[in-house]
Amino acid sequence: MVFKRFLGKRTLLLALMVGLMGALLVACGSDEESDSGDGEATTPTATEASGGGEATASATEAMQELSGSLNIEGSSTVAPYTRLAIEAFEAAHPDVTVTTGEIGSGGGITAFINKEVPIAAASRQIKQEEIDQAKAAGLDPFETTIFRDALAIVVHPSNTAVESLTFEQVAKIFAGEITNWSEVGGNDADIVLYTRNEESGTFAYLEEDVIQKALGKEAEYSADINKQANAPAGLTAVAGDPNGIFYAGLGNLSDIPAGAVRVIPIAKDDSSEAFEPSEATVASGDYPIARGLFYYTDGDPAQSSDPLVKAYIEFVLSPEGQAIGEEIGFLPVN
Amino acid sequence: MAAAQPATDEVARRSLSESVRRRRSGAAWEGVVEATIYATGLFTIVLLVGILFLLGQQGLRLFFEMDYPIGKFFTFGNAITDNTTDIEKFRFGILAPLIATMWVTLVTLIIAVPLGLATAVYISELAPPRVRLLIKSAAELLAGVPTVLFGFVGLFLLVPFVRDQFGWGAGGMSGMTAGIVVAFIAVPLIISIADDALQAVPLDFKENAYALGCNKLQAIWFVIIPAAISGITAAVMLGMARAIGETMTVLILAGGNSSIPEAPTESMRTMTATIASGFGNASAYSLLRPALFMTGAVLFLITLFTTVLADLVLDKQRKKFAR
Repeated sequence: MVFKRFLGKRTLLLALMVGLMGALLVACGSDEESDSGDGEATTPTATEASGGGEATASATEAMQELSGSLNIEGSSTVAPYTRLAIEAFEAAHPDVTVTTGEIGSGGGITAFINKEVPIAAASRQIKQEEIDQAKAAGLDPFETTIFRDALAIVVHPSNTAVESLTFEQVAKIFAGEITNWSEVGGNDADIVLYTRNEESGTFAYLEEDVIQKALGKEAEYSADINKQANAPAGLTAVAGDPNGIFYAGLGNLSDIPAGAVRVIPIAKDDSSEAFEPSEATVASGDYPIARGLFYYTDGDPAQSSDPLVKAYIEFVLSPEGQAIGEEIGFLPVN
Repeated sequence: MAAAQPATDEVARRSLSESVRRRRSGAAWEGVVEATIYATGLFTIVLLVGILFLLGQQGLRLFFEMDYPIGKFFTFGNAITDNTTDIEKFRFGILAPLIATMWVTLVTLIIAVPLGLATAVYISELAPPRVRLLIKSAAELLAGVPTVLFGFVGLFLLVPFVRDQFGWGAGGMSGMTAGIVVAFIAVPLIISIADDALQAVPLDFKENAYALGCNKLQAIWFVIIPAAISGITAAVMLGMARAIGETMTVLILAGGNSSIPEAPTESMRTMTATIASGFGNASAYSLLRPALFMTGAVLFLITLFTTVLADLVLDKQRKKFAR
C-alpha cells in the first residue's frame, strides 16, 4: 500500500512517539478544569419539603410517603452500624433504598465534596482544608455526632507477654520510637506495624489524636507502616503475625472470629490502670483512645431539603437508632 | 513469522486482490471498506494519544497549577495519599511506588519467563498431543481466573508459608510474595503466546535441521527458538506488562508500605496499588488527584517505552535472522 511505502515501521513509531510527546506538551498548556458537577444541586428529588413543625409527630407522618434512594459513603468503622441502621430504616420505609460504602472517612468526605453522596460517614472530624474544599464546591458541611467509639489496639493472640500499654507507648510504637516488643515488656522481636491506608479516618485519627497528642505536633507515623486496604485485611494480617500490631474500631472486631486477635488494655498514663475498650470504659473516660463518629451533610439535616437525609439522620439519633449502635459497642451520644 | 518470504507473499497478496477486484468491479465500494478498516486501525492510536493526553492534562496540573515542586515529586521517598491542598503537608513522591513496581516486576520475570518459555517449548515441540492439549487448556483456564482470586489464594497459602519459612516483609506480605503470585498470572499468558510463536515456525525449518543432523534439543535451540524469537520476545514483553499493571494481587500481597523498598523481600506499595488505594481520597481540589494522574502517566510511559524498545530490538533481530 501507499502508506506503507513512505511510512516505514520505524518512522511510524517515531511519529507516534512525537505525537504522544506533543499531547503531553499540549496538556501542559491547557488548564481547563473539566470537573463535572459544579453547580449541580446535591438533592436529586425533593418531592416534598416535609415541613418541620413538631419534629417527631410530623416526621412519622411524612415518613409514610418517603421514597427514593440515598447513598452514604465513608468510614469503615461506621459502616457496620450504617448497615444495621439501613436495614431497620428500610424496614420502616419499604419504598426507600439506602446504600453504603466503606471506602474510609477520607474517601467518604471526598465523595461528599465531589457531590457524589449527600451523607459522608467519618470516624474523625472533618479537617479544615476539607471544609475549605467543600465550601469551594458550594457545600456547607454540617457535623452530626452519632456515637462515640473506642479504638481497640490489637496484637497476635500469642503476644501475652505485653500485658498492657500506655497511651504514650501506643503513640511511640506507631511513630516508630519503640521498635521492639521487649521495650514494652514483651519478647525480643521487632514490632510489625499494620495500619489502615490514607483513606481511613482511623488512620488520620491515630496520627492526629494519639501520636501528635502524645509526642508533639511534628510527630508522625513511622515510615515502616504497612498500609492495609481495610480493617478486615489488617485484622487478618495481625491474626497471622506474632509480632504485629493493628488498630480497629470495636464494631470492626466482629469481622474476624473472636480470639483471632488479642485486644490489649490501654492505660491513660504510667500511673493509671489499664482498661479494655468497651462502652462502659469509654463512657467513664477510663479508656483513653476514643473518638466521635460523625455523619456529614450539606447544612443542618433537620433543615435539609432532601426528606430522605432528614428522615435518616432523625432515625439514627432516635432511641431506636441509637440502640442499634449500642449493640455493636458504640456509645450513644445522649 | 520472521521467516516470511517477501517475494511469494507479495505475489500471493497481489493475486488475491486481483481476483477480488475481478469479482466485484465496484472500486468505490472497495475504497469505502478500505477507509473504514484504516479508520479502525487509526482509532487505536487515537485512544492511545487520548489516554496520555488525559493523564498529562490532569497530572501536569500538579506542577503548573498547584506549584508542587517537580523535584519533590520525583525524589521524595514516600507516597502518602492524603487528601490535602497544602504543598508542605503533601508528602508524595513517585520514587517509592516506582521502585516497588520494579521489584515486583523483576521477581515476576525471573520466575515466569523460564517457567513459561520452558513449558511453551515442551508443549510445542516435545509433549505428546494429549499432554499438549491438557497443559494448553489448563494454561488457558488459568489465564481466565480473576486476579483477585490469585491474591486471595496467595494470602492464605503463600503468605503464611513465606512468613514462617523466610520471615520476609510484613508478616509474609512482601514484594517477593506478590511477585511470585503475579508470576503465576503471567505464566499462562507467556505460554500461550510463545506456543503460538513456536507453532508458527515452518515445518521445513525443522526438517532441514534434522536433515543436517541436529537432534531434537539442537533443533529447538539453534533453529526453532531463533525462528520464533520475535513471538517469544512479545510473550515476555506482554508478561512484563501484565506484571507492571497488575493491581489487585499486589494490593493484597505486597504489604502496603509506602516508603522506598530497598529489597524485594520488603513490604511495599506499587504504583498501581498506590493509585487504587489513593483515589478515594482524591477530591477535585486536592493535590492528590493530579499526583495520582501523574503516577498513572508515568506508569503508562513505562509500558509504552518498554514496548517500543522491545519492538526496536525485535526489528534488529528479525533483520539479522532474515539474512
